[in-house]
Amino acid sequence: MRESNKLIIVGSPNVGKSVLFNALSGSYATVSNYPGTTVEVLRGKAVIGAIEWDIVDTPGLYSFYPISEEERVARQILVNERSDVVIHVVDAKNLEQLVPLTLQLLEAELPTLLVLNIMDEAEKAGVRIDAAALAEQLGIPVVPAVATTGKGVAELRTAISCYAAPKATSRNLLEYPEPIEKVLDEITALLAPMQSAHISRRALGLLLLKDDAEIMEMIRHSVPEAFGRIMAVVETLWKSLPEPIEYRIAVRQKQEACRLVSLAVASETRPSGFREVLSRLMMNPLTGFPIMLCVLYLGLYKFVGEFGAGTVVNFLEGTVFEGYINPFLINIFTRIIPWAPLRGLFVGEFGMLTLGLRYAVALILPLVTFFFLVFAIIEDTGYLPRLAMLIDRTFKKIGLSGRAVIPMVLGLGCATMATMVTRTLPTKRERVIATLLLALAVPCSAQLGVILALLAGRPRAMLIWAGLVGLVFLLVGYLAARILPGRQASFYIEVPPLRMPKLSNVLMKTYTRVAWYFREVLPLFLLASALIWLGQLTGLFDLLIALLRKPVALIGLPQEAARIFLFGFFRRDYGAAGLYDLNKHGALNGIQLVVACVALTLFLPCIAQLLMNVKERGWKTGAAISVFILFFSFLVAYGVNLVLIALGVSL
Amino acid sequence: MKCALCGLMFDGKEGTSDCARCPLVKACRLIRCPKCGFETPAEPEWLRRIFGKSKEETNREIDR
Repeated sequence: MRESNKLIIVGSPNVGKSVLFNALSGSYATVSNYPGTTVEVLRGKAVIGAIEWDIVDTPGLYSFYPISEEERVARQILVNERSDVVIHVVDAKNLEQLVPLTLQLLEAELPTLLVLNIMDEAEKAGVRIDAAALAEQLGIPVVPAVATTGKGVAELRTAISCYAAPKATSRNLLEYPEPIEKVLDEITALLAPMQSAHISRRALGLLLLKDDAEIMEMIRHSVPEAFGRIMAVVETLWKSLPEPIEYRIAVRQKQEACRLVSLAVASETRPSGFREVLSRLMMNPLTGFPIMLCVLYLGLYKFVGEFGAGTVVNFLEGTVFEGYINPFLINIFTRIIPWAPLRGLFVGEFGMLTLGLRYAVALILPLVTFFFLVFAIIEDTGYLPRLAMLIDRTFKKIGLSGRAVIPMVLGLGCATMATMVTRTLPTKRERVIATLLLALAVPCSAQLGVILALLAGRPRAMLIWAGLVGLVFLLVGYLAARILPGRQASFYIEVPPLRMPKLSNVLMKTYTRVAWYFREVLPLFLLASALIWLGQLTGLFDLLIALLRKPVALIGLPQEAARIFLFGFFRRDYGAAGLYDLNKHGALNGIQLVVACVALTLFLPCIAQLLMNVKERGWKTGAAISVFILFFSFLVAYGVNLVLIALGVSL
Repeated sequence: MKCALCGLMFDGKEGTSDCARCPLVKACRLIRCPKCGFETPAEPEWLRRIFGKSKEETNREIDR
């Protein structure tokens, strides 16, 4: 007896798959974990066109080359289960980004039907889609729908019951560059005896070329006699191509998706000539890096460093806090709390108000405000994705894809949060390298702001610091990529049109980021002051400072500098604020200032990031990263101090 | 909202789906793009009102 017809619903998260599932199956559904995972899969039954169908609602899937566990389960269902119709549900607003999966489904020769869901929102956003033109181009039925209101569901039922698989072969739909096509032909021939998969041999070949471990294992079991030859062909192609093969495949699929969408979508606005030229210049390495340096010089050095720190911080810190607020608070607390040790908790050398509040309000708040203002402008112009594309070329050389730009940029806000984002990177190798670089050479926004403030009047010192940290970033990344096993990763990102930043957008983004950061910083700075006060009372603080004095002296810094490293371990920005204070009191000369800035930037991440490293990468990798950074930061600082003194550099 | 990096348009609620798994603070107000992971703090509704914008208007402006 033939099994019931089977309908599998796929698509990225939150595009309305479950609403469609309910609309087709009614309320009856069973939910169970997919074998060997904690991922839930919904299964139900429906009668469509007088025939009973089994319906499967799969977890979110962005690509046939999965990253998350949910995606892996969705892909396994497609590979291992027979399907009579596969419904690919897309959010009509994001057509260009989601159609590549449709192409991948068609390459897999799955009986695909495309549903353009959330059409109402797409129309509101001014996107007009010619579904018939898209259907003609793809050679499959395309059904516009608004699943939440039931619009399009009747048409979908009709399309399912009348479904006829496309006649065109996948080769007709999408062709890759010649070397890839040649190898795909060889692989599909070698896979001929394979029976177990429900997707085409060509799709299996593409996944093999993308180094998909699961598919590799499946083929090893299914055709053990041919596996060696297949892998030899695959590895020869990998070695012969100058860039990762998944990148080439993704670019080709994206090109095709753009072509199809441009034929079917009426409202795509394209940038004008000047913007198009500027956009290309921003991504071309020859012109892109000078543009990037200009943006950094004007945005960070001049605006954040010289204006933000030099003018605003000096006023808030020196005039407002030290001139009025701190003397007022000390006066009040001297009257209220006569016992000096307890008074010290609030208004002492490390008092919660005189130090913690001052650091947070007078120093960190203005610096992060100026930094996030620049960041919001960069973001609102659409420069950020172009920067990612530009940096991708450099990142590839150090074993990272441009996708790693995301955690790196976020690391400038908070490296702890950014470490968590490294889980979105596709390979373990990339995740480890990104975690290491985030902990070692990416300063957080407040730390960066303070360093810019300290070095703003000393351009040569600034150049040495920036050059050294950049060199460490590239060198350590490069060496880590050589040492850690694994293949190079690829990156492709949507590049939106360039636009003039809107003041309201910039102000809203700046405010929300500053508010988020300040809410996090203030209580922690107050807590840090309280802990230091407690440490002073118990003698623990002095003990830790004594331990740090020797290495601090070795790198040529005065003994008082020991405490900023302790502060920095509690929180990076707290340590940077300590360095600001130290410099203000004239404790550092030019060389010492550069050495301190280098050492503090490279020094151990704060406690929160350390714990996050262990959580995300496991205790062995997390501990290894910390031990390496501890010794490496002091080693670099020691070398910098020696070289600058030997050369007699005056800063 | 629209991701400033990859351009994906998504509902703010989708960007907080990872919050339950976060070992740090549960209410950091950061919204993470479900596709690329880029994080943006949530814009408070009162601020939106000051600028006289609805969510749809903001999306359309960002699109242009």
